Amino acid sequence: MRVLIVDDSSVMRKIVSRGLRQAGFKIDEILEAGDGQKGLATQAQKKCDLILSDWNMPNMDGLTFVKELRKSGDKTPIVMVTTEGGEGKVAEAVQSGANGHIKKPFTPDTLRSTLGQFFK
Amino acid sequence: MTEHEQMQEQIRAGLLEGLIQTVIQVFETMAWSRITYQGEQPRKHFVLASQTCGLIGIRGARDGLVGVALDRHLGLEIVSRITGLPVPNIELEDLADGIAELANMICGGMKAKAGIHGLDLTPPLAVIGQDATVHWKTAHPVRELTFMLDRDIIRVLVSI
Ligand SMILES: [Mg+2]
Repeated sequence: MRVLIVDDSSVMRKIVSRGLRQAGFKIDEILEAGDGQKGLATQAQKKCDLILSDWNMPNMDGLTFVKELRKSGDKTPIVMVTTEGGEGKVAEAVQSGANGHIKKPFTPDTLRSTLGQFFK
Repeated sequence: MTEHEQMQEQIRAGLLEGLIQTVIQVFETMAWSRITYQGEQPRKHFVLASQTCGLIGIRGARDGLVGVALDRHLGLEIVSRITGLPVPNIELEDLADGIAELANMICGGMKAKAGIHGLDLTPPLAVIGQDATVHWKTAHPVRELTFMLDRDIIRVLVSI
């Protein structure tokens, strides 16, 4: 199982990555990308099994990233990691092909209950 | 009070209440740090009297500014706790990024808790230095909310 974390904040990537390990998921590799564009490039090369994406990022934001990835035919589950619980935003992301969302701040328990379905 | 003023006052009170709850929650869930709210005081200026600060502007239903300020050693300690990096390995960039994300989570939580529609948050800005005065054009008075983590002070400045 390979996970891709797309976030412009390196601290946030570390927080998410640490949270995943604390949640006890069996993960072989965690890859990181600093924006949507890099996320697309990494995913094209590495074919991760689950993607966690931030919303606000320079170059390419999370919503565009979801749309572009789906346009390319990639069906990998994508979970948005957002600061606000803006329902409108979440609905838009889901419509564009995202599979769920996690609100910051989160606990390992939240990660376990939200992401469990994506781990085989 | 006009109806508009009443509504603005409701928004202000809701945001402030949400802010206090969220500050405590963010430190607890992300940094495993139990902090206590000490109260608020009016301030004449928006001065970040600590070395590690994150700032976020608010626009829309209400305009304002929120600043989270910690002393450098506490900023390093918190970033270390939330990332798992040992303090000596934390670069200036991580410290700035960490305090910015902390402010981001706090303001996002404040907005969600207050349940106010039509409120936009600016991306976070980190200020690392000493006694930065922030000029901010809002008509709202400045308050300083203080929280304690053991013997350390966490200051949350708010003009809302
Ligand atoms: Mg971001």
